[in-house]
Amino acid sequence: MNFEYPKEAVAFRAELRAFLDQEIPSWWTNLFAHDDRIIPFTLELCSKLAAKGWLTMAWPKEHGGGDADIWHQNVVREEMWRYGEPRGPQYMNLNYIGPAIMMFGTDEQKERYIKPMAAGEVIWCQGFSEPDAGSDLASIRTRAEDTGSGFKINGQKIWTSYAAHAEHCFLMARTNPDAPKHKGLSMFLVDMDTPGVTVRPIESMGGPVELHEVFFDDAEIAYDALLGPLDQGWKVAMSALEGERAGVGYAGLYGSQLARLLRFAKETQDGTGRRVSQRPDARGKLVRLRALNRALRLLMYKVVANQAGDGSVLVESAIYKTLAGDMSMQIAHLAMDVAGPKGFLLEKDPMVTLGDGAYTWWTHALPVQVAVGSSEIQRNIIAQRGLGLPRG
Amino acid sequence: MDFSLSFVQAQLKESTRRMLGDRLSTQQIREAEESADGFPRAVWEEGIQLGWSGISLPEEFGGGGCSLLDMCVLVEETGRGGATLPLVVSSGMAATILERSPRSGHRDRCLSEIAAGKIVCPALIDEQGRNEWDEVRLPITAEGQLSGKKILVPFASVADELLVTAVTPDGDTTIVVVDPNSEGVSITRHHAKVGVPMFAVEFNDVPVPVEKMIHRGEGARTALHAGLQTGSLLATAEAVGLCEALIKMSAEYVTVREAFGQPIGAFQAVAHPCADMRINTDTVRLLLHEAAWLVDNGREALEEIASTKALANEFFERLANDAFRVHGAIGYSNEYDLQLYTRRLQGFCQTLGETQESLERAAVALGI
Repeated sequence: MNFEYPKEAVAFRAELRAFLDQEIPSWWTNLFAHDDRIIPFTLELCSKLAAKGWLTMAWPKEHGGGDADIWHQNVVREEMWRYGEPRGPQYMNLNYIGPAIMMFGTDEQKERYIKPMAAGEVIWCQGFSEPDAGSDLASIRTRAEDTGSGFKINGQKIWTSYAAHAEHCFLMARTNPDAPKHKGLSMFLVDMDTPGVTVRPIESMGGPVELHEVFFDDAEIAYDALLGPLDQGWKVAMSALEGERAGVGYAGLYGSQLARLLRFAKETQDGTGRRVSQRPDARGKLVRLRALNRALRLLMYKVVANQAGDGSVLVESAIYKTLAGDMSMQIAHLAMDVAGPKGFLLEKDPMVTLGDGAYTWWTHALPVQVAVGSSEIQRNIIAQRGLGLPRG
Repeated sequence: MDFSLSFVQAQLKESTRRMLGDRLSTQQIREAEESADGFPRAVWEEGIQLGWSGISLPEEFGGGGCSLLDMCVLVEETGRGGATLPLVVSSGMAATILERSPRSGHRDRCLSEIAAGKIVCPALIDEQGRNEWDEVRLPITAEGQLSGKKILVPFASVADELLVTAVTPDGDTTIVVVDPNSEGVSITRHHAKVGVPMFAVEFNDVPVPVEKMIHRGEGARTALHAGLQTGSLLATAEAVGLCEALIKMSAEYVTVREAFGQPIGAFQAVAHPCADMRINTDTVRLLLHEAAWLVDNGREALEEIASTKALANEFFERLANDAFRVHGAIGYSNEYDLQLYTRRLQGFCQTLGETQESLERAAVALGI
């Protein structure tokens, strides 16, 4: 066992931080804030990262990657999340959409789609959840019907992040309604400007720009939009989701939040004149969360190491995601407690706390518990696939 | 960054699991607990032959020269096997305290004896004190006489030597070696059922010759704290093993036991606490191994060690409880084996640092 981070990757971390410190504008807080400048900035930054060979470092060279080792790629993941994910929606391309196409795509699909991803020029969205199917993903109803000249899509997706900005959709649809539900699904790579595709934004606690409904009304796509074998989309999707869960650098984000919270606790006095950092409850919670974040980081490293060994990371990534979801709320709740009612103030208010506001930490923490597979689903996976417990 | 076990660690894990699987049934665990010794002496003797008692002592004392991390792997297995052994207190804590003490005839001899399987018990908790980390109160006179009482001393009745903390009239912490068979020492077993045999040790004007005064002053406090830190990590490793045993028992039980037409493990109210057992045990193990690795590599790890203990306490207290809850009443009966592990696991939570106190120690280490 060795808990030393590889030296070259450590040096690269310093280089990357210096670059980001320089490139990231003062108005930037994170990807989930309300600001029209966000998406254009992320596109610009991704191009710059691509030019430096830092966007798709660990992808094979033939697909625009640098064949870099996983520890360098992991540095990018951690640091990007530490800075609030300035790669923007394209982090999804890197984490799982690109890898899914590289694993299951035809040469033509790889040629068409991977290059723009590697160049940092393209935004994708994920078409999975539906109004009647979230956790029970296999029961989706969006239908892809073989017309003889291609597929015709009818249905609706919901909670689709960045759909209004996306050029393409990584879509799951039902191709065989007569087969058992897991065995009649297929994955498609769909152009968002296909006639019949409509996007409607969903206002949410997290802000107006993130989530959308996507409607498919007789949207016709070519046969070559199918990714992987017909009716075997479940396998493609599950492999993609494992990558998505493991790919978010929560420990980087939480490390940054905890550092700010620690500073804030030292600077803030309560009504008795005591610094919040001197109160036993706050002190205890801070060191506890710091320890949990060390564990979260190590869990991510463990997943990264297993992925490199081509092992399945289904259970480990479920453990990682569940812990991240629990921690996101614990950090947010502590931030709210330390800030008190001043924590209600939003970023635009001059008296806002903690940079973007404790309340904002709370609204951004909530969805970690339900997105990309809720904590309940993750616990089912750990129980059934990790411990061998029976299904109902 | 590498999470795989080394060759030595894999060997230790496999051989220990096999040995305990052959030599220590749950029936034997029960008999050992009821016995006069209070622990499975035959397993200990065989463990000595396998090198357990000196595993991470320096080779110059006849030890195996292995790392603290290696010993954590060993102790996780003994914990998993339900083996209550003096490994943590003697080969772990006492050895660490002695290693951090100045070289001397007695000190060196003690270390060699520990490696050879003699039991050296730290006697730390004062009668008026609270836990092992508390300020030392037992007085030792200027002439070297001990009078007073240490309590909750594990394995004292089978100790070959006692390693006793005391305080001089001018307030110096001292660490001394006392033969438990000497005149003026009386040992009484506590009534307790957390798995480890514990004793009150009374000292009635017990003279301590100068050569048995192992350490004194600020250096003694440092040595003592190093021992407590090592002890806390090893105890945590042992507890991780207990957790694995409880997870295994719980998963098996809820897969077989049926209610309302299906195995109860198919109900999420039962399955999700089991999932949390896995999340929490893996979390603590990672932190434990990182902390042990830091210690082995000469790095400061005070915040890490203290906060790992705090998290382990919090998670494992709950794990013991959830293991009980998914079993229902059967987990309460003595005949069923669950209680052998849940009692020991609860006992860990208040050994070598309770949760709030450990968090405070971590906060101090952080500098807030």
